[in-house]
Amino acid sequence: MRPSRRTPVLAAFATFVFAWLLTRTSWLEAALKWAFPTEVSWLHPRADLVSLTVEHLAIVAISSGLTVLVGVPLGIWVTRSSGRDFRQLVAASVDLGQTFPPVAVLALAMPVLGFGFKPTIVALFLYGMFPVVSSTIAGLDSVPTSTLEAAKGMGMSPMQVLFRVELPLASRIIMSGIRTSVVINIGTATIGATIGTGGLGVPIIGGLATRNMAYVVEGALPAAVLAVLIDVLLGQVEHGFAVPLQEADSA
Amino acid sequence: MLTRSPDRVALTGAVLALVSALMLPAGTLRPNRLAQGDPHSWLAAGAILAVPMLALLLAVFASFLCSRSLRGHVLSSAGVLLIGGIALSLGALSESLMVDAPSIARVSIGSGTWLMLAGAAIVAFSGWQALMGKESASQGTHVRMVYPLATAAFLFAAVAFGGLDTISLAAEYGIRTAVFWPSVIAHLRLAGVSLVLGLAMGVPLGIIAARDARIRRVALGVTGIIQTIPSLAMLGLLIAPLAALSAAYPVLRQLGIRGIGETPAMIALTLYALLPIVRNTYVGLAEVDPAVVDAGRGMGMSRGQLLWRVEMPLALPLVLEGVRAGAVLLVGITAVTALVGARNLGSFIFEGLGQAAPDLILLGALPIIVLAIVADVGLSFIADAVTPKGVRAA
Repeated sequence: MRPSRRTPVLAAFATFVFAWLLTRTSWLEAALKWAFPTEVSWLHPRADLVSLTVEHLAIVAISSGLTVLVGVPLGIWVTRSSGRDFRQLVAASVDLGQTFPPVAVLALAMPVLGFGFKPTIVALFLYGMFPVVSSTIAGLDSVPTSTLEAAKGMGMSPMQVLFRVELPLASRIIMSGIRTSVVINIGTATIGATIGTGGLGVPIIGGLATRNMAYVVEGALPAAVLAVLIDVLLGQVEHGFAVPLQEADSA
Repeated sequence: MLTRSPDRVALTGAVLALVSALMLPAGTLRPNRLAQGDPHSWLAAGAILAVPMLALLLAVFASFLCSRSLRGHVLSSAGVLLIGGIALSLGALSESLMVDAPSIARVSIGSGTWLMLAGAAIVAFSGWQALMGKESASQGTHVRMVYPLATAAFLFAAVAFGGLDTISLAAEYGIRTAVFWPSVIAHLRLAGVSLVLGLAMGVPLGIIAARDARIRRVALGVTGIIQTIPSLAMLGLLIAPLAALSAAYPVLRQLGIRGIGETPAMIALTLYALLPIVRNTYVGLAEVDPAVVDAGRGMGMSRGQLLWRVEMPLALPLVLEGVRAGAVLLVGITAVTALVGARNLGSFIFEGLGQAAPDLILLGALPIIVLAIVADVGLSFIADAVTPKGVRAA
């Protein structure tokens, strides 16, 4: 969506309203009771929405945090002279990896790592790497050669060029990759409930298994709102970074 | 002839393959399809192990070759031999483990084998890369195509004669042959029909978006939000109202519209296909050079003629790129729709997760990955082929 001056305020307000509504369990139950009068139970017994949401966010935060810690340095390394040999390999793997469906990656983690928290974290961490690495490479590539030459001419060391010139100019593109990665992870984490990870997928999967529509909606509605909210918030962060420079016309 | 600065990518692949061969289990023998198994090393595979080991030596040697094209050919051959050798050894290992085991025992592929295959793929990639280099590009694509074909021949031989048909994945397939192919067809049909529906709605929407800035903002904003919503949440939000509708109007039920199954699946998939198609149609049209449109107008073309004879053909490569992105996305999300009762390859995944049967999960997940890659490669190929020559040069 196009950013405007009002968007940050609206996003903050929406986040606040969402968090507050999550705590109003009795309202939710009343609404679900009205919508699904034939069910006998309306709220999934495993945990309340606040703890499910916190659990969901924790899964995403841990896996995406690891993704950024590994993915950004990997993207930087393959654009340096020490890692340039591996650039093609990493770029090709990342392209291939992005065509893998997230469900398939999540499913493949289970035979290797078993049920529970760990396989989901590992699968989300690996799957989240693809957009982060590719956007890091794309961001660093977007820095014009003339700018790099100018920085070198000023007597900057390679480290100074990286941290003071390249990364600041690449930050917006890198941030867009992180945003994509986090949003995909929020979605894949809901499916993680099928391997016992917890989070907002629990009521959805539980509801589908017991054919209880109220449970399904209890999980699906906040999961959808959470993903859209996080996307908008990270979009705000992204737009806070500098716009990438355009390569000068005449070389 | 040999260099002091070897191909580091090829060496990395070879070292990865060697270390995982030595340190990690090649396979696990389970008493039955669900039980935990005992890890086994490659030792039981026997003499056939010479093939992957020689291939590894060859890869290490080739990494030090000076001539780029020679290095490319030897590394590619080593990669093919390594992949084929791993497949043959796995078959031999499985056969020898099954000799003393009861018939309900299963041999599952171990983590060592998967990582060895990854190492082999890296070796093959480094060879491919050397052959793609500027000096060797003149040799043409024909020579390079030998290697993928040889790999396929090796894998076929491993399944047909090498005992690879005794591993657990093959056994799961054997039990479900009758449902497997219908599931593949159902998967492709659901994803395909939804993609066509997405095109039927997305292309006109993209065309309108290119004409009107306000509609563009709404269309891109709404399809963007849809894209953000987790697929499972979207399906969940669709089944409740659909169930209520079909309960209230029996006519709908007769038409096959129900709360669970293909109906919510198809609606969700069509919605997900919209963003890449609308966005790429709009961007494709926006990027058409205004001078070309002016020229067409000068020739006396009507608005419709301009759109269909000038603008759309020029935008076609980008539209197809959107179709490609949409197709890859839908192949994956189709698997999730198995959770709301649409039968397809995703059903194997979730049944496998439910029974904790790892090889049943593989039977669903591997074909889905293959389908996604085929859709990706196939549609990029088509997009390249339909790009007008004049546009390609630009």
